[in-house]
Amino acid sequence: MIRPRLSKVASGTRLTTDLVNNIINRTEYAADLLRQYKLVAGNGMYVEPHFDGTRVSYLQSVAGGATPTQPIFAYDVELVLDKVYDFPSDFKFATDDNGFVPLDKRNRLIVPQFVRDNPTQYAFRSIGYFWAKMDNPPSATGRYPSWGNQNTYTTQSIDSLGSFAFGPHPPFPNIFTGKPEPAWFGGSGSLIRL
Amino acid sequence: MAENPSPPKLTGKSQPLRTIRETPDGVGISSDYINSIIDRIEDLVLVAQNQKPVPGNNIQINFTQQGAVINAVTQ
Repeated sequence: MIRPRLSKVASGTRLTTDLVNNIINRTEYAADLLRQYKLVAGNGMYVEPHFDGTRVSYLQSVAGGATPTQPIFAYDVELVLDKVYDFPSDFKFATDDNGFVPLDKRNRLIVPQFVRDNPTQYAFRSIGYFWAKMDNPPSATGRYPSWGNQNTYTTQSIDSLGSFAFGPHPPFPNIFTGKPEPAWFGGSGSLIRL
Repeated sequence: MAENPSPPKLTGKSQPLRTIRETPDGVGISSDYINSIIDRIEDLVLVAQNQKPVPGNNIQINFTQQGAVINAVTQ
């Protein structure tokens, strides 16, 4: 409910219940606006709160959008322990039949050998959203819904081949071929020691 | 690389409010102090109103109880 703008008071004005209630109502009006305007990620979007603002990104490039299609990593990257990697939008990766991400050169992320030697002692911890698209769409949109929770970290195990899953998401198989489809990830993650 | 222009600064001039202290005779609140509270609240309202998200290209916004849900418009 819109509350009227507060008027200044003159010297000698009595501090009445009405005046206090008007101040309270106007404060609650501002608080309600802030609640209404809190940004929430919908379809195909990623919202990342920061102390100095809120970053809003597409999960994929959109024609005419402000986020051009760019590779997140232009070269192969060997993951450094505890370093945070940002995937601001449309980081494309391929999943295998179990929904795992093969860490080959297509993904440009490489698990260090010392991790592959002791995979149970390490994990990949990520936060963000997943998104997938099918070449032969089963629905009008032809897309799987985004998956994940921007406010909750998920920890993914790593196997001896250097593969890990971007969260316990289902694989994204094409309904016609049964083969996994590429998926996208937006968020951030780190290689951690358990 | 080109950068987006900075948004205009908010016009609020209010200062952070000081807490009041109790005295043996009670609490005296001047009209100036009440007006500083009013100024501060009006600036807060202005800031809140400026936070309203406005949809740009290929963006839809639905206002819900949980907040403003942003959706990408896909072809």
